[in-house]
Amino acid sequence: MLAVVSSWDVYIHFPILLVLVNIVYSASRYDNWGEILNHAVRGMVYIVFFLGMVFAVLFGLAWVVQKVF
Amino acid sequence: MSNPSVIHSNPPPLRWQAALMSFAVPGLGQIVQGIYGKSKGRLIKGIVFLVIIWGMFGYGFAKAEFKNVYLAHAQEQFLEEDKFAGGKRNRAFGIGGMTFSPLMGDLVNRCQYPAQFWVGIPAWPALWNYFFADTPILENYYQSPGAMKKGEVKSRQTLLEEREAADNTLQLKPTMGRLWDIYWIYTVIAGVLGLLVIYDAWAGPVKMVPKPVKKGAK
Repeated sequence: MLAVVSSWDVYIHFPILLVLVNIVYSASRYDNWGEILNHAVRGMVYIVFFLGMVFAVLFGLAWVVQKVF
Repeated sequence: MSNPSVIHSNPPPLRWQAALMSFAVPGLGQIVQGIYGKSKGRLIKGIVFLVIIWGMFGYGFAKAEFKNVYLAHAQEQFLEEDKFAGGKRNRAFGIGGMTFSPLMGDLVNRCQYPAQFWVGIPAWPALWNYFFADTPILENYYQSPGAMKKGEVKSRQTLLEEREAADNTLQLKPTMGRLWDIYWIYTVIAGVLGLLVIYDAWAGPVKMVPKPVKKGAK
């Protein structure tokens, strides 16, 4: 169980980095906090969607490889 | 629908001074611009930049036990080894027939540092210790591996190997493992964000405005 927990603990950093990076990036483009937060949330959604797609493709490939070989 | 284009409108005040300030302390330029230009949004933004960027850097640096911000004298060792082996480039960094200078090779070898550098003051002692090993600053935190001090009895190779062994021991700790990489990623991302902050201090916010439509255009 401990091994499982420690193998997942790196992923805790993903949402933290996602939020911080998007806030700073958006704040470097706007001065108005409404626009900053709006842009940051959109950025987060794009990144999660893109990484989700990559995850789905890799998961699918892993499944195919496991079934075929 | 008009095609939006990006322009910089209303350049911020004190742009060069602010960029320099944000180079040393991320967000300081925006804080000064906020006070000078009476812009609360820009002032708060500067504080947010400072807290996030130095927070990320400090977190990654401290969690790695202050061992991931450095510039090693590795290229010097590689050049020496290649020279000893007959002169043909083998270990030293370079492109094609060109061999990099020691500094360039060391930057390639430790490619995290050129990104960490933009965090500002907290990353700079590593560069100082690289160039001035005899008068180091905060050496326990920013030691330059392979730096040959006056009177150093160990070889450069031994110094580099000792540092590598220490880093490997640290990575083998049950609490570290793959997190070792996550922690330097924090410091590198903080540095890259620092670049954006410097640019924002100089250029101000980017605004999307519609392109003027030319007469007769379809």
